[in-house]
Amino acid sequence: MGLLSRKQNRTSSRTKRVAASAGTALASSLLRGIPIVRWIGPSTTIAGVLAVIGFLATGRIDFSKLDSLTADVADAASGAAIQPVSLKNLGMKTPETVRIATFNIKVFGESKSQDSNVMGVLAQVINQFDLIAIQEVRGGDSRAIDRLVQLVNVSGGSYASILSEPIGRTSQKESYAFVWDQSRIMFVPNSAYIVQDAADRMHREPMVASFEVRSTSGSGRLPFSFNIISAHTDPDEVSASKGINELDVLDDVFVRVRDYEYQTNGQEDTLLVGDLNVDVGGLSELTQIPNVVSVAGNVKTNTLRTKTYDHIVLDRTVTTEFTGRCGVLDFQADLGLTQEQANAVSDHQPVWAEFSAFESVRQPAMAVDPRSGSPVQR
Amino acid sequence: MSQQKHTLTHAQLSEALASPSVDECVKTLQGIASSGNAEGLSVQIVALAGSSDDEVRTWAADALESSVVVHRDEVPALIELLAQNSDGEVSYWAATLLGRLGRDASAAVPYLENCLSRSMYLPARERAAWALCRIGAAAAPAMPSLRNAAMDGPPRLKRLAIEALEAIRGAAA
Repeated sequence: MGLLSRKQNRTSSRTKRVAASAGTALASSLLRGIPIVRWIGPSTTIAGVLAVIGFLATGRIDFSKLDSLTADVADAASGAAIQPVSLKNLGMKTPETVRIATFNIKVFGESKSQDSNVMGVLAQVINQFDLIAIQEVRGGDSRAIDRLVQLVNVSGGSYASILSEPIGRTSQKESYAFVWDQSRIMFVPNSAYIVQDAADRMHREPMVASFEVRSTSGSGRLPFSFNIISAHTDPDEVSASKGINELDVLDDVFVRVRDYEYQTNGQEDTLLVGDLNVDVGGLSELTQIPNVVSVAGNVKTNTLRTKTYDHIVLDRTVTTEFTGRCGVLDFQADLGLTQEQANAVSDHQPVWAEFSAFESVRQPAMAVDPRSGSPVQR
Repeated sequence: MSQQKHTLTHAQLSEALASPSVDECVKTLQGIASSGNAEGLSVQIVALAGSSDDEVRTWAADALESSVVVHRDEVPALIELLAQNSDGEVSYWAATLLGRLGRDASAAVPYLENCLSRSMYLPARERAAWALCRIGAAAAPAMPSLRNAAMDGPPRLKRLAIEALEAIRGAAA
């Protein structure tokens, strides 16, 4: 597939918005021609080596030739039953872990952000997490997100946000936002960009950004750092049976962003989150990437609790910082809202996952004696 | 939180959507958009996607994307909206809903073909090609226009037209 991710223009402000017009044109011009090497996972494979040799020889990689390598891998989606965890059970934030969420705040714009009741609920939800990827911010207007962050911070928070340019094919465009607790998470300066989709395979191209947990002084451990891809698929373009399926593009987005970030920044932890408009069975090629799973599985994520739309997807063998705790935040039940009140906030509930605040210590590769099967010391 | 309760009957919802009050219309659309399953209101909401009020257009589009369930009985009225070609967004959503019906929207093929060839709004042309793909074999009369789009169209339209041609041939084989 001809979809490449490209780095957006690097700027200095930590909370700089991914500006709409001028920034996009500039980014596009600066990003052209950046080659991205595709590895099949952070571990180098034979195909990866060949790809690099090809890249060194030609300056280009033909991604399509590597696509087949992942096609026959068994579905790695988690079949484990994961129960939603209530807001009340989330508990206080701890120095040892961080909580990351994805939340589609339906048509979050000027009018919704002027409803003080809705905003109060949203502020309480935001406050539970260290980083929230938000979908469906209306058309690049930052006022709604600014008001929300302001409201959270009025009660002692220290949150910041970043907003994407307006995205979409029709006149109804929407933006992605990331909102994070600055006292616990750092946005990697200038790391945000929109995946470039030159072949126009996705209605709303995903947004990528990189974050790092603020290190606890004297801990001696490396803080957890990661890339996060936020996506909102078009429900009319996620049907596996009818040719066009954005989920079959998102697997390329995941792999290429991960591999690009690994190549350029040594960053191997990549999360793909968002409103994908399918349950685990519909994730298609995305969960055919080895070890890639939707951590919350088929938990119902809409407010009516009838459908699974939202996911946090990661490679379990790479992102071992995932603690296994995850769920859907049932803000309706926890805050005692009626169905109508909950729907006024959103028709989605946030999906979240917990991660260690520190990078996992990975065991170095060890040679094995083929006869005895025992590790060989070198 | 002024969300409208979902206890309204279909007739009441329809009446609220037709209200001259923008606020009432928006609140009704918000309720429908959150319901996840709204039947019998497709035509009215597609028409509202072309409203002169931005808030109405936004919520109509959101309801159409997330909640509206189209029924084959609504095909003639959707064809009428498509034929009027009054607004690009209206054509886009009419084509989308017809596409969701697949073979049940066979009667719309000439109108989708017209939209594919003549609409000035590229997203509507693309959705027309997508809808013809979903209709399959019954969309065979639209093959000449699809071939033209497959040869000369912008990249995405080209790809959708090729997929539609393949679907039509595959269904006919």
